Amino acid sequence: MNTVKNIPRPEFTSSRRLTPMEMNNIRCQKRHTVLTPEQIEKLAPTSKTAEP
Amino acid sequence: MSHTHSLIDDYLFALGVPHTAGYSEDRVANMPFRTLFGFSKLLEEYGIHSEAYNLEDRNEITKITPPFLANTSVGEVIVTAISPTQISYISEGTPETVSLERFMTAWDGNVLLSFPDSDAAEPKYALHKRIEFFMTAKKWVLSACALFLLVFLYISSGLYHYISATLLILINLAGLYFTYLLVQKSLKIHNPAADHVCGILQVGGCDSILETDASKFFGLFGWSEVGFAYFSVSLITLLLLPDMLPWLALCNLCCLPFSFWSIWYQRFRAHKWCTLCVCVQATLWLLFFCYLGGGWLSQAWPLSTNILALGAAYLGVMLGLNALMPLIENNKSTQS
Repeated sequence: MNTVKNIPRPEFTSSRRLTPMEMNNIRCQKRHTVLTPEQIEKLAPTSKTAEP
Repeated sequence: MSHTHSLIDDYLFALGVPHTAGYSEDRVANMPFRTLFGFSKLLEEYGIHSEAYNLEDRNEITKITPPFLANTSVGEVIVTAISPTQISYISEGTPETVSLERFMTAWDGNVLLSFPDSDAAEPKYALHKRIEFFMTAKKWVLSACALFLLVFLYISSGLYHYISATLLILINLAGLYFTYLLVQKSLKIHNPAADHVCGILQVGGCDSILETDASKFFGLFGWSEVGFAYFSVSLITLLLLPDMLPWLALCNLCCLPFSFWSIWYQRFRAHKWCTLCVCVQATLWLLFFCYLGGGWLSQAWPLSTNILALGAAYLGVMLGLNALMPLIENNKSTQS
């Protein structure tokens, strides 16, 4: 086992901390999410056309 | 990179927090609400404080020191490295690297940042680690005992005098392995070795065949269970009661018509090839040639009551296995 990492707190300028209720709306899976580069490629055009 | 495909195990590993996969995965499995809030509460048990943010200016993601969780349209991913142009993350245990621009299209702007204390660790880590060690050792001891018994019985029964008997042991072991993989597949237990073998003739062929009605004998017994019972009983009988060899040969002869039906079904009805099933058929024929070459088949006549005992052993093990399968399935669904 490697040593515990020291993660510095970032200084955001335009970020909002999520409330417990908002965090409860984001589902977590037991297993890993499968997100391959190919899947991202497929998502890319859809997202771009959705932009105004 | 971690050895499993569990989100918490890989995340704790990336954070460098001492933990055991078994305990961590069990805690996630028993979470009443599997949400980001629940996950952050679970991390607190390890001495890890977590905060979730929505980044309005998405470019601020480069300010975060990995590892952290990023929420995408398909779920959470563990980000392991980030630069102004590229991002690396773990997708089902596999490290992936894509351009940051591309990643932005899948990411919804939400992140979970974790700040472990310097003494962060799993509760009762030493005890859990010890249990994990003994669980692993148990498997090795079991394998060593099985190997020792196999060699001991092979020598004490005098089977090493016959080349055909030696080959029969090896082929039965191969058949046992193939049917073990098939049983795992029918129980939907993921095994990379099974997927590798199955992909030789047709990717996904094994799963397709195992989903058909024909994969069950009278709709009750999976052919994988029948095969596992056949090879295990044959192997044990061969080692413990080598005098039964002629009747083992006769039973093998009775199984051969099944191989024609299986190949015909895959070729003309299902139009799919199950590599593991084909391997089992090939194993049955290899056994037949060994029995024939060793002269064991010709000694099967006149028939004796021994064959009834052998038949009862095959049937008993098959029924026992059939009774165990729902229990394994129930246990598996409870765990997932």
